[in-house]
Amino acid sequence: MTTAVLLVCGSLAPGQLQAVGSGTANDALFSPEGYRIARYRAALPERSPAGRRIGTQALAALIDRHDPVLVDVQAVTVRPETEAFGVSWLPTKTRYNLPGSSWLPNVGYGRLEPRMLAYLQFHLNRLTGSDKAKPIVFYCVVDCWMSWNAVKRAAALGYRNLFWYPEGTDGWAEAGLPLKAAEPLPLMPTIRSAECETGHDSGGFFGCDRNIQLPAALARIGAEPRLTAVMLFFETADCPFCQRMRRGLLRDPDVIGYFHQRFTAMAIDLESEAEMIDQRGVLTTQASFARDTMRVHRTPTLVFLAADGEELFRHAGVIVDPRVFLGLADYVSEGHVERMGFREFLAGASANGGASDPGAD
Amino acid sequence: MKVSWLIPIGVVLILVTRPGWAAKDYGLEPQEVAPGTYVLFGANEHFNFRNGGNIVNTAFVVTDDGVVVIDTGPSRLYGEQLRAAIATITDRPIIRVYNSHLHPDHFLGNQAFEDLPEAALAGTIEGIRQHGEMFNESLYRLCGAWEAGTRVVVPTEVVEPGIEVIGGHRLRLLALDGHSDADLVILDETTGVLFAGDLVFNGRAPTTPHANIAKWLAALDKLEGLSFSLLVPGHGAAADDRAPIAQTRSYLRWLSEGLAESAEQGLDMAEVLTPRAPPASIAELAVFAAEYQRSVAHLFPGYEAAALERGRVIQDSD
Repeated sequence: MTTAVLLVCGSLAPGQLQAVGSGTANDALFSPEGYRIARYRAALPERSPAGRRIGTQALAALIDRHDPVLVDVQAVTVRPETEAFGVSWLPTKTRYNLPGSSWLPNVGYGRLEPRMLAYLQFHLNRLTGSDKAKPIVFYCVVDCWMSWNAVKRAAALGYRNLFWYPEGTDGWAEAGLPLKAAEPLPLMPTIRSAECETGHDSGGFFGCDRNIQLPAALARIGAEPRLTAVMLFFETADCPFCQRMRRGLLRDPDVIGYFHQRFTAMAIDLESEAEMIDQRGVLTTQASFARDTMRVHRTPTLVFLAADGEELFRHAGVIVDPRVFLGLADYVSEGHVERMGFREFLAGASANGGASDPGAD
Repeated sequence: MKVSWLIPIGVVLILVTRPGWAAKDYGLEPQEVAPGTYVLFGANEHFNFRNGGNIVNTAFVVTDDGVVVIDTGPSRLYGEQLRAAIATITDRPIIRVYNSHLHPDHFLGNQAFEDLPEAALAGTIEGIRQHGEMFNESLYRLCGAWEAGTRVVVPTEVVEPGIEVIGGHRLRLLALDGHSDADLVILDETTGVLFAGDLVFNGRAPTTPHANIAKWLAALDKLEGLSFSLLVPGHGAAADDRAPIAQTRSYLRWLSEGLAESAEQGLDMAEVLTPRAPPASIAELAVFAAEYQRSVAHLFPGYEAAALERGRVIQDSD
């Protein structure tokens, strides 16, 4: 019986989706990536965009047996304040959701700004204990496309055991099951690079939008095959060699392009008490992260982290020669780290007539 | 053989796709207001999570040839329950559905009658085409799960004003406007019942999101001149006299005069939001305070623009 249902639902889904999607007006309901971007309250398609659709009774059983991560994505107004005062949620009334849920508002929108994507990535990583196979259930309310989007988004982030509960809190309540007053999880501090703070060089080496929490940066490495590591640039405000790198290599468009093809970069200030989230998902400060977690004591230091948060390589000291700097990029991104030292690699590269030199001149 | 296999799948599909929705019940009870003529009266309230949008009057007339439905309610569920309620009264087929105008409480139940001819004035069809999805989305916000599975179904048949005889009922179809750009009024000359749609409210403050008050007052004059024995308003109780027309007219005049005067005095919208000394007959209308404020938001900018245009507002020149 179950098989028959799945087959029937499966065969109906495309037509149904089309029927739902082709509204009376002709405005776009879906982004090119296939996320719902308008009219978030409307009849839903049968089929989950990824993973499985789950009904109320099946969800109750799943909760009993497998302790899935429950994520409520019901939207809430965001109160936009300046960075200095933080940004917070502004629920208009108490929301009641499934007991044991984590409420991540607004992550079900079809287009997520970097802050919201990082918020989703961070919490999914934390709630699943970095286990991509951990079951996750997304829901909101009946006929709400936000949960549909969230399932699709989680699949794109590599989560493999996803459930879509389209009936949401309405269906749960109608089945006579208990709901509990909920609080949205707070938005997280955003790491801003010095350029972004001062308005200089925005979109440069540490491009403002890319200065996101470390778990999110690592998740991005895992999600984009061309990226091989997160590059952490440890500095202080009055370190002359750091400034020299920032004014020189780190401002060179060719260098920036070369690094952005391979890494995502974050700047960490050894003396800053600004909040950040480390690779284990712990809220800390940049200073404490540098000193206690990464054991960085001199600047500049470059540390490369793989997608799993493991350190691939670190280079302490200033680099001014573009060939060395780009060589470092090759050394890490091409996996030479495991076979030879950096000096050895550089010597080999120049002996080969600079074959791997990308032509920094 | 094939049929017996298909039916269980169909049943299973319904169970899969519509979980628990049947738990919600509008409790629709058709009241016979004239021979073969039934009205399902909604509450004189705003849309909310308790009433599920059942704030509207819908109606049906059982003719010799079948049933004529006038307005379909605020949701798919309402439409389905309306259809079921009709079936408790008569086993004659439904042969036609009219939508009086474009507002969501009057047409979002169309989905339940999708297999039948659904008719409206051309302006209403265009309005639903343009704004239907927006209405649908806002009713989700206002009524929540009562809207489950509701989708906009645009009427397909254009109503031409004039006389239509259906199953022994002589229906006079009037194309008026003022509450919206196209307000269909149906006078059943056989029974004397006037289905006034939202041109007439009874005991409830009128809504004005698409109103043109001058046209609306003109439409009320036309209704006043019709010969009828029972008036069924879009909202509120039926009446055997013209009192609801007078009540709607007096509200609209009070609203319009107050807003025009305030605009000419140079008041801004925030100052106008508290009404100035409404007469008791107006202040006691259901949902008056909230509906008045909505009307200010809908209409005051127009009065302001008109006052400025005529140079009637003296502005500080700093």
